[in-house]
Amino acid sequence: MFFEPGEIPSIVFEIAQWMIALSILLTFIRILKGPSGLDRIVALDLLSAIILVQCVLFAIESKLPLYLDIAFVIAVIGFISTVAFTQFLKHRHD
Amino acid sequence: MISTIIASSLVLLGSFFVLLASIGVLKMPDFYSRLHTATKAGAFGSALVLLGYLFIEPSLRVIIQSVLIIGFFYLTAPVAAHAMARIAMGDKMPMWKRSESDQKTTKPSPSDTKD
Repeated sequence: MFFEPGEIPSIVFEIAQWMIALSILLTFIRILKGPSGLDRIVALDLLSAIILVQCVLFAIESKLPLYLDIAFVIAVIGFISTVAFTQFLKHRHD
Repeated sequence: MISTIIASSLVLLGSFFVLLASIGVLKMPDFYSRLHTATKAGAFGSALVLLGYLFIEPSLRVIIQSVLIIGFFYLTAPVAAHAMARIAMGDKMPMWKRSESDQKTTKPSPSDTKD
């Protein structure tokens, strides 16, 4: 292409992986603590975005563009499950 | 050399935004602000990481897929957020005590409570 492809040093990759792990932990705390079911759905929606980012980091690390398809499937399933959850929790006063 | 700098900075910035999103989800006082941070920062963080990947492997396949994922995420994140907020408003989810809102005074419209 118009410029030579770059290469991520492993230290950058480590920091990104640690950030993703920390954000997964924080989202789990919200899932456990969430007072109502809807808070848990928000956390699960964010979790699907985090796993999508993790998948792209895998694609970078392993130089396999296959993981981008997985990331797309995760995005689709995350969206559909979020909307399905909202219909499930309709008018449930928990 | 320049594309490694761009790629690594984009990846770091993207994962930092995802971290911000999860911190926001944990710290925000009520449901609506949590929803606000989760969908917005989550979508933006993953878009940045995808752009970072674009600079690492600029083949045609990666360009098409990352644009597809970013477009899909930016189209569907607001819809999901709207669905969640609508259900929360329907269930009259309590707001944060210090947030002024006109919902308290107006009765929810009848279309909200219809099953």
